Amino acid sequence: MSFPRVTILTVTFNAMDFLEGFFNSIGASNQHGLDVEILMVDNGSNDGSVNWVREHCRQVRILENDENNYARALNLGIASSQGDYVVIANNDATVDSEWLQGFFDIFRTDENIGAVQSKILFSENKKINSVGVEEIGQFYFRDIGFEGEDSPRYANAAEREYVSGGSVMFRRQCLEDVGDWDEDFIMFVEDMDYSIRCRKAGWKLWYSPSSILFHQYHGSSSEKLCDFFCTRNRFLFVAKHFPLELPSCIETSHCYEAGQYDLLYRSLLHSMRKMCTYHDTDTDTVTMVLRALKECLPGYIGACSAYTFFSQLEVILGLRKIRVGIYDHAGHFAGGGQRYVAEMAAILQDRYDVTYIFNNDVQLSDFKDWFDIDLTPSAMKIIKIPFFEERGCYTPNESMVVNEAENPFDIISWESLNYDIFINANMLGKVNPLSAVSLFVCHFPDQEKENFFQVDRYDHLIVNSDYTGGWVKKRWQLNPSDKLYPPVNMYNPDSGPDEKNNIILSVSRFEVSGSKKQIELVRAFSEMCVDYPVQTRGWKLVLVGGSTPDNMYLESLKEAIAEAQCPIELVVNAAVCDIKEWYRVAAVFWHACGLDEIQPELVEHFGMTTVEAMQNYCVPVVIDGGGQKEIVEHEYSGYRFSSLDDLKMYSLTLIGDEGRRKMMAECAFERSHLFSKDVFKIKFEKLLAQVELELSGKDSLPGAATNT
Amino acid sequence: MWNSVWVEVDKRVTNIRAKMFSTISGDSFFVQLDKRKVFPVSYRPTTSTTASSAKLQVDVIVLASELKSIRSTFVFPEQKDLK
Repeated sequence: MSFPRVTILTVTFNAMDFLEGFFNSIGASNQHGLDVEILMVDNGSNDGSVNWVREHCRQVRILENDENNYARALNLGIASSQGDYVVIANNDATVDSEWLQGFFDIFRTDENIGAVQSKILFSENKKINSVGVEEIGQFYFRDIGFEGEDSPRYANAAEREYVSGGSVMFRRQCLEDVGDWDEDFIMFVEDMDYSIRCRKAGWKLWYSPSSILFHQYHGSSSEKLCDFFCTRNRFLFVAKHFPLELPSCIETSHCYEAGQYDLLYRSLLHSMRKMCTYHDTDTDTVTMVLRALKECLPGYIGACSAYTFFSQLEVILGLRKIRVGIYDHAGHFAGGGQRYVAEMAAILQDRYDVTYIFNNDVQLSDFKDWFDIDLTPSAMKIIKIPFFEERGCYTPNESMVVNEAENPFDIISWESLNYDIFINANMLGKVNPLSAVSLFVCHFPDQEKENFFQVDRYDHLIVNSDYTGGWVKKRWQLNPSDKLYPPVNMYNPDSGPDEKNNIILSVSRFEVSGSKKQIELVRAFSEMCVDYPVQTRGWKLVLVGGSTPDNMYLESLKEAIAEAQCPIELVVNAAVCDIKEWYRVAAVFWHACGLDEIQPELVEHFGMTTVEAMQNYCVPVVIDGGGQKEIVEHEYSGYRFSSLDDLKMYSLTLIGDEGRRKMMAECAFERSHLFSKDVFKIKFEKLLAQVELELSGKDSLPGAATNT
Repeated sequence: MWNSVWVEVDKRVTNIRAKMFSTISGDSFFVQLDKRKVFPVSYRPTTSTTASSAKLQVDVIVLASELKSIRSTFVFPEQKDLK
């Protein structure tokens, strides 16, 4: 005679405190006439419990789940199980000696019984935890007998509509008929879903008073976790089994009552996706639900969020491509900030519908001329802002908006509603993003936190360096979500550490304010030539940069060069190919922006030209401040100075020691890869993967556990 | 505990999760299994927690049209809607 095979399946997550008691009680239970196997599926414990079980409970077979998902763990365990019957049991529990036998008291009575739940008692006071589950209206469930005395009332077996997954035995045939547990539930309410599916498949669910498990309620999961999943999964349950009731469930949901609109929004998205992908749902039903949601949702979460909901649903269901809006109020400047975002756009336009939004006349083809970036696959739109038009401002300046009753940038906010992803590319902090996912790119927090400040509404706050990130925290009390160094691509295959001339190079715009400090560099070089004529013989300083017409600073610089009477060459508005050649031949690179400055915005936030030099084996000697500290490793891939005396000293060291210069040039070149276009692309794509995940409506889950 | 291991798997076994794989000509291919992704032979993932892999069971054209129609009915006349 062969004994029925029984698999005891339990799912663990950091359950060290419970497992010894749980497995010991199973070992001590009456297994007469049964062929028992024990399976433990671990959801990624890090408390040593898996090793402990491996050492001390040899009869327990262990499977490791690849994510902390209870329903998935059950599928994994059931698929691996051998039993004709499978018991699923919480392990923050102990079992009564007749626990296993008690299930069979019921199974023997009717072949149509698919599952039998135990009498689950609280271990501390032996009151009832659950003798089955019932719906109490509005799709809320409660354990039958919860917290009641274990009275004769619960002494009889009875059929149930729902059974708890805390301790329940399934007939193998039932599990095979019903299929896998729905992993979208992750945990909580997954047993209600399975119960109703069992009944739909024609199986009966029963309660057995003679199978008893003693449970430590919430032994390993928090109230917060329970609330989150119960709220979210209630919608999921309704979407699957009672789809037309979904809209009416909103008002009675805990998240709506508690004002947790984000959880409500995400739960509904999740539910609608489930509804559209569940085999029992038809198109007419979905249409009716959508129309009902259209009527009620704006009242619950506001018109904008409701609009975004339907728009996001189109994306989640794969009905259209993702739309991205990039707003650059200064897109008509060919600056580093524009290039930074144009590089982003070039990546984005390969996979999404991208629209560039400007305030002034500019053509996307200009980006090709400026940065050699082809943005023609993107669309563009020009939106004039009346507030600034009336005041004759060509470029919107948010510092002009002080006491206005209405935010002039609202026109851009409305525009953002047309996109799934909105990127505020040039740190205009008064634009309120209304897209499903939003990114704010900050090159430096120039403005103080003031009227109409909206930066805290963005999902991602991207900074270009730790230096910028530090000031974002200080000025705006916000934590940047991502750091993306600007992409630098000035590599030249003809460059090498041996192909150098005696040239010290500086590449910086000739700012009218003089913030790039070229006059100071001229003075330093002049002093080097005077004080160390032998060492500096044959060396020259080359100052390369762009300038606007009638630049007074440039005139002053020319005068300073004339007075210096040493080899200094000035190159204004050079073509990119000429700048490349200067990088190729120059041995040393100088950068002094930020020298003796107190205002943080006047210090280089990153410093792309330093990286360009390093990509060409040009050893950087740069200011010890701002983003330069993140680029150059002092005395390894270059030098960082705090005074002009230091600048001279480090430069003389390089001039006088060819071997050291070449070695540092190699190090600088290696270091420069960290800021390359390729690295930028990899990091930005990683960020996009996260953004797509958010857009997909996937929950941001609280820390997970298993037992309930 | 294993780190990673090379195993030869029959091509017809499609239910093993692999970290990476490369196809070899003939009837077998090589799979590098991640230690956390070793599933029993009988395991078949069902529903997924990611959106893209779930297949729509409803009429896509009708659904797209309905959603577009719903979005077109929205009007935002009030500045307060922005808040």
